[in-house]
Amino acid sequence: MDYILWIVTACLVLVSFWKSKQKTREALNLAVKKFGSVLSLFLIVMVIYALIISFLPPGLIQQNLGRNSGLKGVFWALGMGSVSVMPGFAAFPLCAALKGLGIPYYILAAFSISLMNIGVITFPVDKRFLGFRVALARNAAALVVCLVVVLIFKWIFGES
Amino acid sequence: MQTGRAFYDVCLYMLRILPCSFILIALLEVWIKPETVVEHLGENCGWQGNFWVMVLAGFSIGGLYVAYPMAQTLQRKGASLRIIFSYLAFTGILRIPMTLFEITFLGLPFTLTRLLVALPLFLLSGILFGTVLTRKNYRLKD
Repeated sequence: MDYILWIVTACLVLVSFWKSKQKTREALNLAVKKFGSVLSLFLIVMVIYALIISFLPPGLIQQNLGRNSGLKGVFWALGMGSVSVMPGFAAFPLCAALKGLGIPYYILAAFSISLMNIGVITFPVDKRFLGFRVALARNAAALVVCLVVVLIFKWIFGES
Repeated sequence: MQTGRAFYDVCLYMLRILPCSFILIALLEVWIKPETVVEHLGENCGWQGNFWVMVLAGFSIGGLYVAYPMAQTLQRKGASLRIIFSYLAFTGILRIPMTLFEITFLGLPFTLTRLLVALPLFLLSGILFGTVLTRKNYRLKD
C-alpha cells in the first residue's frame, strides 16, 4: 500500500514540475509547512493515547467497545465521535490502534463517521451560519446516516 | 513498555505515509483553485453540479471554519440550497487528505464501504434539505 502511494506522489510531482517549476516549489514548501504544523499535534494525540492505554484497565475498553459490547458500544462510539473535535490525521491512527486491541470495524466506523459529521462542541459554528433549527436538523440527519452506516458495517464486516 | 513500542510503531508508520499525503494535498491546493470549481456550481448547474460539488468537498481542507465561508460563497454565486447542503455534508465524508489517511490506516474495504453507504444517503439528505428549505425561502446567514 505505502509504495503505491509513494509512486503516485512521485509521478504527480514530476508532472507538476514539468508543467511549472515555480508552482511545484510552491507546493513542496506548502507541504513542508503543513507537515510541520500537524506533526506536533499528532504526537500529542498519540502520547495521550499511549497514556490512556497504560492507565485504563484494558478490560474497561473491551467491555465498553469490544465485540460483546453490543448497542452500548455503538452508542459509546457515536457519543465519543460526536463530542470529540479531532482531525482525521489523529483519529485514524487512533482507530488503527483500537483495531489492534480487537475493537470491531463497526465500532470504529461509528466513531470515525460521527467524528467527521456530528459536532456537539462545534454546534455554535453550525448555529452561527445555519440558525438553530437547521443546524439541529443537519446534525440529526447526520446521526441517522451514521446509524445506517454502522448497521451496514456490522452486516458486512460482522464482529471482525 | 508495550505502549511505548506501539507508540514507536505507529509513529514510524505515520512517517512512511504522512509525507506523501501532505505533498498530494499541497499539489492539489496549488494546481486546483477552488474558485475555478465554484464557477461550475452557480445557477442552472444541472446534474453536473453533483459532480463538481463532490470535487469541491474533496479538495476542502480544515473543518467547518473553511466549509461555511465556502458555502456562503456558493450562495452568492447562485448555487441552489440542494448543492449547498450536499457540499456541507460531503465535506464530512469526501475530503481527499482524510480519505487517504483512512485508507492507509483502516484499509480500502473500510473506506469504500463508508463512501458507498454514506454518499447516497447524504445526497438524499441534501435533496431533502434543499427542497424543504427552498420552499421556505431559507438563506444561510452572512
